[in-house]
Amino acid sequence: MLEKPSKVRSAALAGSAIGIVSGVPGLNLINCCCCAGIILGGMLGVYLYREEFREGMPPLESSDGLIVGLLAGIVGAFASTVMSLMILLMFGAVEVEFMRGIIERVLESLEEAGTLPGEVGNEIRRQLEQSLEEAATVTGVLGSLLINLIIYPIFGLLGGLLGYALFKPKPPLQYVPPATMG
Amino acid sequence: MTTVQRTYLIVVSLVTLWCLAIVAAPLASAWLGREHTVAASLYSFLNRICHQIAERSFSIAGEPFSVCIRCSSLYGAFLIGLFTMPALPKARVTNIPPPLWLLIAIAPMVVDVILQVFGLHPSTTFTRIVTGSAVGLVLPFYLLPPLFEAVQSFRHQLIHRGGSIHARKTE
Repeated sequence: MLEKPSKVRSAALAGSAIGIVSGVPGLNLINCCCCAGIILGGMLGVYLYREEFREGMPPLESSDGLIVGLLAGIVGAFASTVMSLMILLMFGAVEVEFMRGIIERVLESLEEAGTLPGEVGNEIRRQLEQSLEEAATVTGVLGSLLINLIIYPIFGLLGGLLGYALFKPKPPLQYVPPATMG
Repeated sequence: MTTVQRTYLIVVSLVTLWCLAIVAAPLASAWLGREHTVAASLYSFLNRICHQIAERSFSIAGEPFSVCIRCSSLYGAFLIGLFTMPALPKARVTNIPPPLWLLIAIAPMVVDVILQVFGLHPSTTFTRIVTGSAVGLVLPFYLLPPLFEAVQSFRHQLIHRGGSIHARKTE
C-alpha cells in the first residue's frame, strides 16, 4: 500500500493564504468574525491535502485534518507577521490609517444617531489612537507574533477539523444486486 | 474513563475558560481599572479575534465584554451545545452530521453581516444573538466527532509505536 502524501505542501499553501488574508489591511477584517479567515485557511489546507490522495493510499483521517489545520495555523502566524512587516516597511502605517478611517465613521454615525455621548466617543478615540500607534511599530508587529502563535494554531486546528467534517471522503457504496422475481 | 470522555472533559474545561476570559476582562477592568495588566492583557488578547466595538458588546459592571454580542452568543451557545452532548444518543455524538445543517446554521449570520455591511438592513442585538447562537449550537457536533476520532487514532499510533519499540528492545 502507498504511503499518505506529505502534509507540508498543503499546510504551507493554506498557511500562506492565512498570512495574506490576515496581513493585508482591509482583508484582515474577516478575522473580526471569530477568526473566520484562519478557520477558512485550515479548511483550505484539508481540501488541498485531500486532493493529493491517489488510489491505493490509505484514506484521509480526522487526525490528518487536525495536523494540517494546526500546521497551517503556525505557518499562517509567521506569514501574517511577515506580510504586516512588509506592508509597514513599504507603505508605512497604512493599516493604522485604514482602521482609523473605519472607526471614525462608526463613531460619527453613532454620535449623530445620539446613541453615543460626545465624551464617551472622545475617550474611545483616545484609547484606540493609543493602541493603533503601538501596533504600528516593528516591535508591535513582532510582539503580536507571540499572540498570533497562540491564536492561529487554535483556530487553524478548528478549521482543519471542520474541513475534515465537510470534505471527508464518502465511504464507497456497496453494490446490492437487485432482487430477482420468483 | 474512556479516551472520548477524557477528551470531552478537556474540551469543556478549555471552552469554559475561554468564556470566562470574555467575562473576566470587563470585571477586571471594573475592579482593577482599565489600565491594569490583567484587564489590558485580556482585552488585547481577544482583540485579535473580535472588533470589540463597545456599542455592539454586552456589558457587565459598566464595562463591555471583551468580544462583541455575536461572538459572545457564538461562544456561549458553543458551550451550551457541548453540555447537551452527553444527553444525546451516542450516534449523534460520534457521527458527523451532514454538511447541509452547518450551512443552514451559518447562512443567517452571513446574510445578516452582508446586509449590515452594504447598509441594506442594520444588524440588531436580536439578530446578532440569534445568528451567533445558531452557529455556536451546531459547531460542537461538527468539531467534536473528528476530534474524538483523531485523539483515538493518535492514542493507537502511540501504543503501536510503544509496542514495536518494546518488541525491538526485547529482541
